[in-house]
Amino acid sequence: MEHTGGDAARPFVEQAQTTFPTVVDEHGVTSTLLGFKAVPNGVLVDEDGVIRWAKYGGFSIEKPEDVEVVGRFLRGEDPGPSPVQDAPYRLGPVERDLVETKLRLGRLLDSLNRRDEAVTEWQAALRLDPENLVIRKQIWVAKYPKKFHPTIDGDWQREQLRAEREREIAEGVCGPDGCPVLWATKGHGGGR
Amino acid sequence: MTMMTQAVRVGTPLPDLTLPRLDGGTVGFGDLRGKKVLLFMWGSW
Repeated sequence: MEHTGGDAARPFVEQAQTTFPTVVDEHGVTSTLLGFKAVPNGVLVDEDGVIRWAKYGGFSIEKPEDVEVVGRFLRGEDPGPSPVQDAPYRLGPVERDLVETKLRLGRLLDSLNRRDEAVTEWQAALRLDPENLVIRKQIWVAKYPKKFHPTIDGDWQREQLRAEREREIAEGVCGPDGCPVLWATKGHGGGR
Repeated sequence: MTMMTQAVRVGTPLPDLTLPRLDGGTVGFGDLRGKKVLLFMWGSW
């Protein structure tokens, strides 16, 4: 996931000295396709191309419980049940289509350098899916590029998230099923 | 790209999406058939 393009990811990959290929999803296509609202994620896919396990948000190769799942999968054992994604609401099929359509329209407008109109579409998508941190960050990158280049300001993100959620809760924007809102109440950080 | 009405779930095939590699070229998810794969998704932001 790189709303700012591959150049932002390169230093991390070089520092980690990875031996596996890294691909860049600049437009958040995987987020829509797989339905995740935050990163980091781990997805296990078997030899037939079937998804066997997925953890959306909080996956880390430094967490013993995640390493154990990957180990089981590699040994040919059942990786077990996938963690349920934290969300206080579920989008229906029509709402999901609407979110995806607005995201795609926003990307198209952005590619035509019509950034303000793109942000308006992304904000409409976020209003339907307010827990979606991938959409929220896409808006931030477009509106506040200096908070992401040359370095990423994590403190700014936490404060911005807190302020935006406070305003949204006051306005009654808490998702289709209403409040409570996890990001605002459970101490979720910037989703790193 | 067709309109997705439902996100892809565990137990269903990973769609054959092709994405650009950081070091040049592309990777198609379909090219990974025959191997066990861990997709690790992250963002610098």
